[in-house]
Amino acid sequence: MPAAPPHADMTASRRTLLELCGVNKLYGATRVLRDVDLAIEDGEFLTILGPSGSGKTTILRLIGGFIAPSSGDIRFDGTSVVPVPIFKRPFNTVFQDYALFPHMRVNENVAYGLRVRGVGREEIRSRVARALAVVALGEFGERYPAQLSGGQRQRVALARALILEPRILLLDEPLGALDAELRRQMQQFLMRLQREVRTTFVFVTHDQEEAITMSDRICVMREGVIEQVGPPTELYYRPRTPFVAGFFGDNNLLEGTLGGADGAARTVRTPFGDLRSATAGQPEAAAAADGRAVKVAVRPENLRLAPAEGTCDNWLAVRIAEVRFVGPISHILAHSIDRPDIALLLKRPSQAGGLGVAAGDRTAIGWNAAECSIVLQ
Amino acid sequence: MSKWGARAVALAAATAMTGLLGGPAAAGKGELRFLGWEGYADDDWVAEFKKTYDADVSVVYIGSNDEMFAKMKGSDGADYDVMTVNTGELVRYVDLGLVKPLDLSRVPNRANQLLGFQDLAKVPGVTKDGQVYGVPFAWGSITLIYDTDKIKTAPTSWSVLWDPQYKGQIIMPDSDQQLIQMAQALKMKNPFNLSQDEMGELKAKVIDLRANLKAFYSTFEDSLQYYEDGDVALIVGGDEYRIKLLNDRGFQNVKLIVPEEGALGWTDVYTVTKGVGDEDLAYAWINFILEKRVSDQLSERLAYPNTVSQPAGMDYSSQLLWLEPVEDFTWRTNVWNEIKAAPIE
Amino acid sequence: MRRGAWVALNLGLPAALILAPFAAFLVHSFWRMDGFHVVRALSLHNYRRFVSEDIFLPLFLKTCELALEVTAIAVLIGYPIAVFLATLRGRAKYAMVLLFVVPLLMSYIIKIYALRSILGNNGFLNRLLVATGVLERPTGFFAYNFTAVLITLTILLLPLMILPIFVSLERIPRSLLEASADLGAHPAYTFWHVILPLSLPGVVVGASFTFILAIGDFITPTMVGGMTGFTYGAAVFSQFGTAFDWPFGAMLSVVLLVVVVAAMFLAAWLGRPRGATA
Repeated sequence: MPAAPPHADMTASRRTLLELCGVNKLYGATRVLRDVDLAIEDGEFLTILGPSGSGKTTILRLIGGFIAPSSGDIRFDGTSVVPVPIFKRPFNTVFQDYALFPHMRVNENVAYGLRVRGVGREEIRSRVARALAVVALGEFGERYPAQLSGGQRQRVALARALILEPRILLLDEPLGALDAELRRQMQQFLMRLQREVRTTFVFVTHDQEEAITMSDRICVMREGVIEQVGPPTELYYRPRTPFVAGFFGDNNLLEGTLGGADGAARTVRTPFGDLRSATAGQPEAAAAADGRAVKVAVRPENLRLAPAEGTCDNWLAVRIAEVRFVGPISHILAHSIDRPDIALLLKRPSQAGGLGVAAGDRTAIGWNAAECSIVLQ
Repeated sequence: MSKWGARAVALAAATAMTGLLGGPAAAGKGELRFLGWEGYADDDWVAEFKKTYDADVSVVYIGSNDEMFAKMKGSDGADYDVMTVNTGELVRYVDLGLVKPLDLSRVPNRANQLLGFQDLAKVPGVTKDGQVYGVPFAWGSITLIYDTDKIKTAPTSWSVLWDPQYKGQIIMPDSDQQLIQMAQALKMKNPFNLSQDEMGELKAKVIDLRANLKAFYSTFEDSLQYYEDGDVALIVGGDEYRIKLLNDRGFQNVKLIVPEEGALGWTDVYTVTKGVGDEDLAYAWINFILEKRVSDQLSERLAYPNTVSQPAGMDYSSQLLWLEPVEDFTWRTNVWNEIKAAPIE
Repeated sequence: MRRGAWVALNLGLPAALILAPFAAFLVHSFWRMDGFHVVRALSLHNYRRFVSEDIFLPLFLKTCELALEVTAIAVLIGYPIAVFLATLRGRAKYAMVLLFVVPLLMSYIIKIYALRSILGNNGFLNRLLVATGVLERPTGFFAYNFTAVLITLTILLLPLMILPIFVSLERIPRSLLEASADLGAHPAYTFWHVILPLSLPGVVVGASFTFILAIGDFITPTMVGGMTGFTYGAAVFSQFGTAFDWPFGAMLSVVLLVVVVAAMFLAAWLGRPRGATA
């Protein structure tokens, strides 16, 4: 498993297209966004991820211009767009309910934005045909939205927004209403499309897996605050907050206090001995004071079973509590021998003859400093 | 008036139902069903009658003679027990067998009536083939009311209606009875029996008159509303009761006149319908109305003379042309519709 | 068996309540009167009379024209009001909507009297115009003429125009308006290309209510129309209520029914959902 985020170099080279600076949004006394700073880079696929009520859609609506920030600024190419009305912003939206005009045929829906701009009839015709071809709906131009399936409507909404060649495409949980299979297909389709048109996509979802598969970067929101922004692997392997550490799949979180620094790693003191964790990409953890309460996050698949002593940075004697076969992967639950109240989860690829361990076995697990991260409390 | 909508619906339903089902329902016991003009079933009398006879009383008021006829004919007389009708109208009910001959011995209070009403054979229109069909109980005029502020000298002739000076200040009842009144105004020989030519002339004159009219009114209340609204100088079809109602509402500047061509007079009678349910109650009601106390109250409240006490100040009764049956009711309804539908200007 | 009875009830009851009276009218319209008696023999007598006599057909056309005019005016006034109501938010919206519904619950006759006293020569409107110096003296322009019929019918039927339009406006998802703006449309463009077409079904429903009620109403024209107040409905009423010529009245009603049913079908066709079927 590579420890460094693979996108790190790419993102660094991109330029900021849109920037939210200190944005707050209040409805009456309810604050739905708090001091949000977010830079969206040109050409990226950025996903805003969070549970419902976390403020992710609010960010999208602020960018689209449907609502105005209570304070703070939104800058596009360095210029504030807060005073710019919706219909003059160079962004287009794919709505959660698609918002297709029911009284217009597919052709007319897709042509709508061009008509508004007074584009010539012939040009509209050819551009609509091209846009429908891109979303593989060439045959459906004469139909009304009510005559299309959910996935088809979704693609019409995409074509209608993309035909205007927006600088940013805003997608508000566009896959939420689709069934699992169609959803996977649309995910693939959207990713391919984004690479082809090279438009900046800002995609809102509450589905972690979707976010991880599709995005260049993910912005994790919680209760109106940005928890962490970064490429999927970074969020997965090097979470900075307990929320992010617990948000994507299973994770082992071991409590301890910060100890001394040692090059690119720090010591974390735990009840079952000292652990070492790398601090690359985690400047807060690297700089935090000794003695601070932290958690060490380590993914179940990064834990090794029965490594030879001295071959891992971190080593722990355990007793196997349970081995569970769940298909391609098997789960192993182990308790620390020194502190039986501390449990760890391991994931290993299943093998036909079993993994060679059984409940009750005494063994050890280990992992390297680069395979875990320090999460500040 | 306020029941017009409901009435139209009821009519529609009745039309459908008579076509489908035919027969009317039988009357309930101990109930008196009254059909007639507003005011004739006064709330106080109804209350007293209910108490004395331990009976239910249902009251249906009508707005025009034709409406009453439509109600009676529509149910073949089975929906009502007693009915008030004027002597000119009574004949068609008698001819169609919608009312029953009366047994006057069941109306002992007839003894209270004035001499002129004792021999009913001498009252036109109440007897046929020696049988009596109606007991008179009230009478009055149908003439003209004018506003003494707007018209300084009292008009003497019906020709005032055509005077352009009063354009838009005249209201007239929406009733084909006005054809009789206008025939009288035009001094036609027999206003109840017109020739084709006379009717043609009458129709043309009334269509002319429309240019001068403000509106056709449908009920007493409607006419009062028009008056209150202002700009009404003449109320055609005015009567004693109307004057009283106007006075009660604070308008003292109104006067009832009988133009030189004469006015119409009516005598209302009580009849018992062919479909009468409780006959004893029907006679009891008629007898009750002829009690001196009740009849006097009628005059007091409606300003119409009754048949029990000598009227005061009714010096114009000799100028009245008493209502008689017309030659063809349907013809007159149609002519009236044509007049109303004729284009104006 | 019980299912059969249920189906029979479901089909039979509407048939009995709607079709049977229609059928009764239709049958009656082919009968005729002899004096005060109905002759139950089929003939075209009434229909011939309808086209030959010079009062009924012109009256009918005049009444259709009146109903169309009322409908047109009600659309022109009602639509902006409905839009206004739909733009209101929260409590103010429902308070205002209620304000437009309440008149529907009031007695029709009382409303007519009230309007008559507002429009009359001594009425509120004239007094206001004189007091504000717009007029030198009260005008008879508002009462007892065709204008008064138009004004009164429009005011009385306006709620029935406003409510369906309001409902259809309310049913337009907000996201459609946002999508339109998002695609670059100015609010005016959005109104003409999204709001107006999507609210047309409401306009059609309101217009058919208004037209059907206006064409059949005879009370309002009689009460406020002065000499112009005789309408087709009044002629129908007079055949039942005064002339006692039910067959002819039924025939006149059949003509009215045909127009009303035609109006309903036209409305259903105009208001049909787009794209619901291929």
